[in-house]
Amino acid sequence: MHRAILSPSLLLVAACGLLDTNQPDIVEPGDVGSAAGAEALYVGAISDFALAHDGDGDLNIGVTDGHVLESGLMADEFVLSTTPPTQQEIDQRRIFTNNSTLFAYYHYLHRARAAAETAAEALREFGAAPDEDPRIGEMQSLAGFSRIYLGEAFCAGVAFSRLEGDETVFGEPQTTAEIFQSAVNLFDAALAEPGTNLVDSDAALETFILASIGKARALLNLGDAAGAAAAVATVPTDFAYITEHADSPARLQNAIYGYSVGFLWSLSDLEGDNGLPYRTAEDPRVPFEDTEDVGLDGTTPQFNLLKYEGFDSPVIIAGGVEARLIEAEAQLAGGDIPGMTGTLNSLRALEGLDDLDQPGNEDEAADVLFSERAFWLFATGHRLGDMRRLIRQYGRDAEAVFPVGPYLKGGSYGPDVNMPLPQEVQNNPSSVGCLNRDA
Amino acid sequence: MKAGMRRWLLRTGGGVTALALASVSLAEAQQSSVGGVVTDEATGQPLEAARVLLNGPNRIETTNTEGRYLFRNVAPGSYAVRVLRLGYRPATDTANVAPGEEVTLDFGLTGAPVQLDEIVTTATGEQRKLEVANAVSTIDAARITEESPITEFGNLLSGRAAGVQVQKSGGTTGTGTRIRIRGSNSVSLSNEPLYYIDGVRMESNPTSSSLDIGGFGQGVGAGPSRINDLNPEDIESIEIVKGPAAATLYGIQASNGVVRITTKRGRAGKARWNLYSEVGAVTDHNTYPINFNGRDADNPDFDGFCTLQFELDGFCAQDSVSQFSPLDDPFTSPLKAGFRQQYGANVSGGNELLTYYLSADYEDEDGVYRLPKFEEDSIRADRGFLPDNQIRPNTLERVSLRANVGANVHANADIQANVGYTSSDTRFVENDNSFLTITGSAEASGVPFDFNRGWFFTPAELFAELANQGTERFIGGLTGNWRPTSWLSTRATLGYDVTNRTDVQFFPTGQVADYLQNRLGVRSDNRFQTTQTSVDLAATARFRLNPSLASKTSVGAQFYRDLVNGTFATGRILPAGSETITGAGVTEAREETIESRSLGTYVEQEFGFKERLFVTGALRFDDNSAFGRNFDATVYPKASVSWLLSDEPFFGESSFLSTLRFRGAVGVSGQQPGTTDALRYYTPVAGKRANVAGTGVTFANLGNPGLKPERSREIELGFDASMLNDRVSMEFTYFTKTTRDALIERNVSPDLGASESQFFNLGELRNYGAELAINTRVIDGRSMAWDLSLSGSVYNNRLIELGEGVEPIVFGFGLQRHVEGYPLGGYWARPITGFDDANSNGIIEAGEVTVGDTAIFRGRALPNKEASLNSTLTLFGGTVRIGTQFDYRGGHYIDNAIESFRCTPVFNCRGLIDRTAPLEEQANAQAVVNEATEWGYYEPAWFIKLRELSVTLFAPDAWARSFRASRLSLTLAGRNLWTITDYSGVDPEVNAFAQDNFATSDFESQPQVQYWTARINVGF
Repeated sequence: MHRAILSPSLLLVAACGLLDTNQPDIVEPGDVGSAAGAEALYVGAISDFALAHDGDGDLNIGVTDGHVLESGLMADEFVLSTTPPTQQEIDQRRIFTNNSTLFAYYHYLHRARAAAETAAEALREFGAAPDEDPRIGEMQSLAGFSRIYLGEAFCAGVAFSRLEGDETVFGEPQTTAEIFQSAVNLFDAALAEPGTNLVDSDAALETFILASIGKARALLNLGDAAGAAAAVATVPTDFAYITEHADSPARLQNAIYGYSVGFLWSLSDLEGDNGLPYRTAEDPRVPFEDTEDVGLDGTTPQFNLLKYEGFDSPVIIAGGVEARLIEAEAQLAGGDIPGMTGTLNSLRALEGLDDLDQPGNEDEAADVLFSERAFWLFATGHRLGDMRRLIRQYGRDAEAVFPVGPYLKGGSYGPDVNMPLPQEVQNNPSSVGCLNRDA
Repeated sequence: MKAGMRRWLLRTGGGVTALALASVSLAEAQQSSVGGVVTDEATGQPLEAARVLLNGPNRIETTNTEGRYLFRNVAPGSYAVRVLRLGYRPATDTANVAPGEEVTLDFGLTGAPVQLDEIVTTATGEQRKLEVANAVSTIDAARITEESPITEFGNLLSGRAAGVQVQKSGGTTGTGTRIRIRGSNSVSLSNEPLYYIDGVRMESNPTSSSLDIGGFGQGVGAGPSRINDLNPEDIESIEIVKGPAAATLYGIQASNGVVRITTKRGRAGKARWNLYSEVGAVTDHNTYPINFNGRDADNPDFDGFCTLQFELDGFCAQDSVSQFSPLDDPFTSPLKAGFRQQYGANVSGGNELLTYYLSADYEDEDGVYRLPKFEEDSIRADRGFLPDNQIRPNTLERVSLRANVGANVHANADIQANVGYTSSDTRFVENDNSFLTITGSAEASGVPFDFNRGWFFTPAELFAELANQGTERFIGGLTGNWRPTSWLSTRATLGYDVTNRTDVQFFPTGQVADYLQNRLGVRSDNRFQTTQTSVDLAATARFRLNPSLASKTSVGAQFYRDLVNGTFATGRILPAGSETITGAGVTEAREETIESRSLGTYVEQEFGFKERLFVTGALRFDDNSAFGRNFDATVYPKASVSWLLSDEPFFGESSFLSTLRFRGAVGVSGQQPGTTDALRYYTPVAGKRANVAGTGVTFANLGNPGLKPERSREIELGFDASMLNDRVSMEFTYFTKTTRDALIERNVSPDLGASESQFFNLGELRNYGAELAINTRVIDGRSMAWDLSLSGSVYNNRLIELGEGVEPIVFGFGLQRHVEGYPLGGYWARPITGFDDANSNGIIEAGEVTVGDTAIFRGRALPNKEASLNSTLTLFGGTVRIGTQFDYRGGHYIDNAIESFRCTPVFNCRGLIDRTAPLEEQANAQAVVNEATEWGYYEPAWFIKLRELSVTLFAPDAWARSFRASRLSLTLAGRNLWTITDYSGVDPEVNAFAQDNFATSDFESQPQVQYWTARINVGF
């Protein structure tokens, strides 16, 4: 007997449906090519972005810690009070490219970016009235923010690949400046969307402000403080675009809260000499609790951040306070130290804080400004980018900015000022890993 | 049945069936029979369970309790009748059958210590082992369970077949087993063999659990293996088909080998009862590492963690070093003897028309964990009561029932129905990689003895957690054999294996360890139904083409459907006292459905020349629901030759070398992709915007429309010999197998923002090695006999190609890698290139260790050498039997991760704390702390274990008769009694990754435990 007989018999039976299976857990691409599918992609992109930014509640696996936690761990906001060595590498600033936590962090940021870009395209292609849909600009903005996070946290060399049908179009490695410029381009596109400029639409206004703050943050990273200030000039101080969370399901939970009450990460104070006094300052902008206990590593004193009060606490992605801080930085850049001090004190008055003394010179002013940013924007994913800017734009020595000296889980702090690209990027044939490890 | 199916069946089977029907009337008109009695020639006693083979139609019967056999409906002609039985030389005679004649052919067998010829079951049916050109290992399970310390199915396989490695992941009662046959064939897919029980494909998930008891997330810790659902007491024999060359006809999931299990059957004769009772103890005699704590009473921040380096850096000053392990102190240790009991009865019998085997078994085992007395007293004083399950948190209770019924429904037809039912309830403790394990909270606690008695979390807190799995499993098979003519036999088997499983994990509010909010109360209740449906149709036609040449043609078709349905429910934040999800503050639920279907056909042609040269060729075709849409069916060929050289006339009679056979085979088998690996798809996901929760979709899998199964091609060459008057038998096999189109779960560049990985048929890997099995009777006296069996294997495993542009795959704490040119899953790390106590202060400081910049290969993570020595010493004319099994594994390393973890981040390893520690130990500690290299903790993991020791006392017949019994025996046995190893950790035979495909580590795992059992067997 020959394959010519048996194999067709198999195919015949297969053609009769004997090999058809039921896979109810999956949604095939054809199912999202509709208006309803575009809506599903939009909600999915919102979810992916929240996950990439704030992590989720699956604390046992801990692969989706998110931007706020990972960047804050590498910066001086958090100290690891549990044991996974991949997280310790980040806290200790000695990060290897085979670090699975690093991969997850990087991957989920790209997933959020790609999901937002896909959703924007779907809303435009399948939406009933795309010219009246501010969500297209919102999705472009979230894609822009994802790029900002990648630029602020990772070394130069980040690429942006995309799917075109069954084909993969690999992106070229970008310098840090190119990454931020690509974000600016996305925010500009969002601002130009017809749906972003609808009048009498709260949603359109929200998207417009979101894109404005995003553009300003990107410009700030590019060293254009004046341009950044101009972008946020009309942003009201009480504005806030947030990621929203819920007690259930675990994917919607706020991991920043979870990691604190789970005794996984502890609030830092003067970490590695250069860290800011987040606890000893007893500043209401960084509320915390001394548990009088140690974390899950059995050694690190556990101080829980109280800024997020539950798994359902929202996290601010872009806010009016940040807009004012950007304006203050523009004032500093323009040599207007009194103006900067006044702007900062106006904000402090909102919290009932005492006025700051006017700094005597630009270095002191920068210290004050970045300290204010650190306290106002604590645990929102800004601090690592700011510390890098202190080196890149303000000429500070990395050893004077990042935690240094002995690391209390053993060894000493390393030299990293950003995250390396995970080794999996080598699967992009254009990628060479980090172009450099500069701030 | 759909019209298409009917047409297909008609097309493939119709022709054969029509031809058969046409021949039936003629054959029945000339019915004859061949029958007789098989006896022990020396004693004249009838021999039960001898296999009688009627050559030509190749029919096989088994003698009943009176030694009788009978072949009905034999066509006139001349047939060779061969009788095979363990412990006896094969005997052959000729039956000349005239029309309507009842031919009587009796056999008297002479004893032979060892023998090579036996009946084995292949994909096409039963046949002589010497016709099969592959190495097939057969395990006499029925005898082993009576006389050896067998506590689960995996024990039956361990150390009894060359090339088969049974890796028990730990000593916690109920945990599973990783099994490899001739190494690992696949980079990204399962390397576990396929299992058939009585011809029915059965579910054999090595980690069948959604419980989060291992620290690696739900369902990936040390959970149970479904093969251990089987009751060893019900198993007659196990045959192990080792590689693609032998397993070709089993299709696209058989490249890892096939394990065929045959349960016990009834035999014609009066009812025979067998009762057994077993009681025993489970004990932990391991030596656990001491926690070193550097004390500095004046400096509370460092008291307990004052390392030598911290002292040198000026952070603290050691005023003393405390040394303590709560696991080594009887007062604080929760490791106490557990109790094991097993009771069962079976009855078998029947007549020429109907046979039966019925059994019932109850098994109960408490693991080695028991709440320490001081905590028990404390809780009773506080709460007034203490649930039993908190005192004994690791238990297994199982009831097994079996009914096997065979019926000769017609002179030409018989049916066999085999039904097994198992109900089990297993309570686990956390096993691996978690502070919630006993070992994690004790060894890696970081706390000195004066805090919490040395516990990070106390046993009372840990044991308050409930992780329970309940299963109800039914495996049923119905096989019909129809022999419409003397030359044609057909077989149909319908199989159904269904497991209903409930995994419940419960953290009672306020009672458990204060870990990840568990103390607020968490309950998960996950329910699954797993079904495997199988249909196996086969037909074999035998012709004698001329007096010297016989032909056997087999065709077959198989259909398999695997389906898993699961629902998951979790409630968090429970009111105190609540034991239900209802009313939980936060609830979550989801579903899971996994289905795959497979359809295959085969055709096999065998030519036998003068019953001593057998040449076989076959083709297998498969289609599967998991293939990519651009790929159709696959075809696997095989060819083999078996040459019984010793039956050649020129060989002559030789007592030195009585049997010599050469064999060679080449064949291809495969491994199918995962159910949805080929598909591009999204999955539903929750999202929330503008204070409204909704459901969206997120990208889940890139898919690959060209995905196809792996192809593993194996060449197997070997010989079998029986020597020295049948006192020594030897089987040697060399194999080389290459897996091409290997499915590689390649990492996708994360900058695509898609799924993490994508399957491609990219890789190539190779395994080659040799197996040797020697069975010998060293002493063969009337009052004393000593049988020795040595089996072993060595193999090499190498990843030839991972695929162009594919980066090495890293896993297992980031320490193991799949790298081209190296064994799969080896350990890699940056090497310690040197250390020097430059300032001669007796302390290796941070700067006194040098570490290489690049990770290099350290060693294999899986053993590539194994050997076992089984000895059976029979004394006093057979009234005493002493059995031992020594088990060796080697050629591999294990990561002593618990020790490195104790150095960092916990700071209680000796290398960091104790200034008298050897400099190398200090250097390893400094290297892991400062350079994050695990190099110093990869240790050779070879071991030799005294795996089994048993003494069986057979009561004299008179004693047995005084109990109205036909036989009576008492067995005292032990398991895991002694270990020789260089490994500095507790046990080189543990795995924190449980039954993972490759990942291996010693990390907060429960090491192997000892079993001591006493068993009484009574036969009536």
